[in-house]
Amino acid sequence: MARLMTIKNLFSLFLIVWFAYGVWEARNYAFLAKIFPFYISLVLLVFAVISIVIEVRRIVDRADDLHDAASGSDLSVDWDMPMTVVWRRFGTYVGIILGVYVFIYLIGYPLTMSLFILLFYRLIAKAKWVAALVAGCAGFGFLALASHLLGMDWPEGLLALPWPLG
Amino acid sequence: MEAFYQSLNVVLNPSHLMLLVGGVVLGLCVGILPGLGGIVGMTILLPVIYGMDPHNAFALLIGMVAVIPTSDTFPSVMMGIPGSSASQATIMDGYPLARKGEAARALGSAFTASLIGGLIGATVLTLIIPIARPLVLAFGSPELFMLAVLGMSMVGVLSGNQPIKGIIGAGIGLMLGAIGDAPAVTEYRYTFGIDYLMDGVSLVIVGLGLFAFPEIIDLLIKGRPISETAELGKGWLDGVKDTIRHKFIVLRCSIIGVVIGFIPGLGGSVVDWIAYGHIIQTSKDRENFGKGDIRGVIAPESANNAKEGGGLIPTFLFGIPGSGSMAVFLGGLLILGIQPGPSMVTENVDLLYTAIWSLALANIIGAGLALVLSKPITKLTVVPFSYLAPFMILIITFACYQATYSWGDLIALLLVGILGWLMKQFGWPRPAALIGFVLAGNLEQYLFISVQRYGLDWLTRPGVLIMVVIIVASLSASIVYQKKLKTAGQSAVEDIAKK
Amino acid sequence: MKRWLMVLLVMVCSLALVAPAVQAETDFAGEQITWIIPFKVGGGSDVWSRLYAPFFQKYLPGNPVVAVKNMPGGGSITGGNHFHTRVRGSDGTTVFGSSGSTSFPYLLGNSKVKYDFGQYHIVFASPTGGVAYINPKLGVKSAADLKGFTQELAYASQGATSLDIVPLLAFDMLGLNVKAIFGYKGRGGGRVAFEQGEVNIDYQTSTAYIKNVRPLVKQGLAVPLMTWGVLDADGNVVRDPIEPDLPCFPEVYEMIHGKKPSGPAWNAWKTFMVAGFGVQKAMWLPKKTKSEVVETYRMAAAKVIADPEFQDVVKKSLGGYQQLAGEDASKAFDQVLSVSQEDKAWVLKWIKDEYDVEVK
Repeated sequence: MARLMTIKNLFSLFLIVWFAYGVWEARNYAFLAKIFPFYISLVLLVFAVISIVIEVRRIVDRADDLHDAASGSDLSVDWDMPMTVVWRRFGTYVGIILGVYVFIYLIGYPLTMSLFILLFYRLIAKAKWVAALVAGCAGFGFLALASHLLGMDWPEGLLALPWPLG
Repeated sequence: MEAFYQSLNVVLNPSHLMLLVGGVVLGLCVGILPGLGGIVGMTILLPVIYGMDPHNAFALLIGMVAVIPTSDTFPSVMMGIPGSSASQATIMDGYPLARKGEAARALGSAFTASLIGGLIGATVLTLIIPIARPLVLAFGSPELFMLAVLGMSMVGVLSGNQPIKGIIGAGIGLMLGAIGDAPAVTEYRYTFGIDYLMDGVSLVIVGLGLFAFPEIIDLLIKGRPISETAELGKGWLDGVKDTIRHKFIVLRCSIIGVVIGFIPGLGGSVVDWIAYGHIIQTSKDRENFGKGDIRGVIAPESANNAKEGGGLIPTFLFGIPGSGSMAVFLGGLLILGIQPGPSMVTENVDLLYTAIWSLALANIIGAGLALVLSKPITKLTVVPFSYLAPFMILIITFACYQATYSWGDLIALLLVGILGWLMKQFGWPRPAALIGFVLAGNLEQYLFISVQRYGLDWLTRPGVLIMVVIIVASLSASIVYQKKLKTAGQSAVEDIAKK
Repeated sequence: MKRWLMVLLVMVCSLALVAPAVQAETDFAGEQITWIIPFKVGGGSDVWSRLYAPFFQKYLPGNPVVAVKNMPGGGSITGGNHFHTRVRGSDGTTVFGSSGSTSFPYLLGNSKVKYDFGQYHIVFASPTGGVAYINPKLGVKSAADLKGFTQELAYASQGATSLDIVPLLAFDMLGLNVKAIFGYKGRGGGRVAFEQGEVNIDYQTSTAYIKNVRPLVKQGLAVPLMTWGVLDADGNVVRDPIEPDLPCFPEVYEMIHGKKPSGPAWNAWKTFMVAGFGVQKAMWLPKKTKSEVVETYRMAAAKVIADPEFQDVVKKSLGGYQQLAGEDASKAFDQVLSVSQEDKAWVLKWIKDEYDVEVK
């Protein structure tokens, strides 16, 4: 829990930096372009500082961290696993998506996504080869259909492949 | 009146009906895919309608656009991923229902609400045509500014028991919305010199980043099916009954939908949140909102279908589209050789009535098809999510790329997605951020125009004063709500202490 | 069987006869032409290109598929830069559609602009017109009443570096006291603001004027003042055929000042008027395109424009203006390209002095 609190505070700190940057950057804008972002971020900066003070005080007081999200505010998250696992898995999945992006950049969108689906089924969902192949083809079919019938585009790769591969 | 029935004849003509069904099917498909909405649907159809008879083209275009808010409910309810910007608020209660294994009920009630909302929208549209022009003209920039403020005030009920987090959450949205070119002068703000950011981040990307990305990641981390119970007990019929039981909610929210739809400039993207906020504010028992209260599904779903009817008004009568999909529709009109303007209610009134009949009919067909589909589709909620995840990632990246066809779209999705995930973990209200983002442009633009034109005199305009009263009433409603919550929270703490 | 052979033989022979004739020209058979439109789907330029595309498909040799590719961003700068830096071919399979909003930042020397119209080959251009009108409550019955009119007027503007340079500079040259209210989106928004009474002077392009402002004029809710005019064959600004009874801007200037307009303000106004209205939208081929490809395109454009079916489209959706093909378009656009440095500098200074806006 303690670990989460620090990251949580880091996020709040990030917001302060963001809003401060907002004020700083806006100071030089042309008058009409300046007013809105300048004052909004100034007010937000104040609120963000107040918010982090409250957070820190809570840690100091060792108050129980009641779940912040009340009804109607946002979907709640309840983890039945240690936060470290959550963070590690989060990092893994973001890493996977980044890897996918790199491949899209190299070999184009449709091929990357079909391979991604196939490998995801095989390695993460632990599906059988047949299922993985079917899924990969289904993804490819969807893309080919969307591009051919509906005239929609996708990112092209460095490696120029003939339609519908690239 | 004669033209009204003549148009019904046109609409019931087999070739017209076929096209209408075609449009509806496309609309359902586009709606069900997260991130693809009316704009993409219109873009697909635009090359097709060239040279078509306008009545037939209307069948396609309106059939398509009318049912997007019907089918976009599927991903919103079943995965907590907005199917299009019209169904973001449906997530709040629809998704918790799906996790309880009540997806079928939520969908049944959503589609019924969509159907009735769409029909009410078409009816109200027919009735207000004679007074539509003066009605639209009554909303000058000061009134539009106040409407945007009213939308922002919904943040109050959506930020739970920590108003400060609600304000900052909305602020995150405003800051995201400030990226790009300023409305009044050529100044590019917060772009870090990146050309991609010159036009700001598109709503599709922010919507998917804040809601879809975190949900996909969380479900993957959990590694379980969406539904926490294996049996999908309650059927769609219960949902239908729920909606009928709450008929006044449907009526109220439909009217909210039409009104916000026909006011140009506010855009349709906040209709669902305003309806959702409204229903929380006016309910006495609010404890279950956000945890699977069926009213939280009915309210946004009736409003978002009703708004499509309203949205036709400014497009037809003034040539000023109220939403992205209506902007493309306007282009479609021009391709068909129809110049929108006052003549739409005089010489071209038959076209207008064709549009209304098509709208009503499309809602009926769309809701029917969606109900039929709901049974097999709800089964997806018991499938392990890792089977669905790669397809979801494919669809959202593909959808994002349709925003500007550039790499920036994919990178922006990832960055906003990480921001959304962190906000979700740390309890910063994402709905508030989304509302802030959608309204940022309106707030700035209309405030500037009001001040430039009227100085401070605009504050005393009757329309503005009425809006102030509404905003104050709505805010005090949420304050009362929060007090209640605090006492509830304290008693909970005491309970825990006792144990 | 024999008959089939005969038919085949005749076909082969006729093909052999036709083939050399076709080969001499450029043939796009089986190819796809990509027409880059630097604006969103459904916008004015998008509609314009989609109206033209099927006719180009019909008249370009080999009937290639003409596909519109939207590349919106940065008020068309993104698409323009893409065309300039990425499109290298000489075979004419990629063309570019520009609009007034593409030409204006180019003329103003916006630092983000990389494209340069001087290097490309124009295929055809589409003009449009603009009509200014005023609220009748102010007592102005026609443009003649503007002389000595000092009351402050309000105009709904999209920004001081947008197409609004043309109306704003015109009002300024007439000595009117017009306050520009910035932040409106599109001319439609300005028109609604006029109807609401939020502003009291406005202009619309011809097609929107006909459908939306004429009814107001009939009801006595708007008084038409003047048109911006159109270019004649010699490059002079003359009355707009849409509203032949209305004076065009240079006439009104003469009415008020007693002399024909001249000097840097007039030169600048005319340049921007031509860029924003006279040749508002144009199709371009990249720099290195072979001259025979350019010729093929220009011939096709002339045929498109002469097609009676297309004339109908022009009448219905493009304001009925004479479309300019090949040399005509090139000559008209030269007026934009030949603007002098002093005149450019004058406009930049005017924008800075009047609206405190600097072009970066």
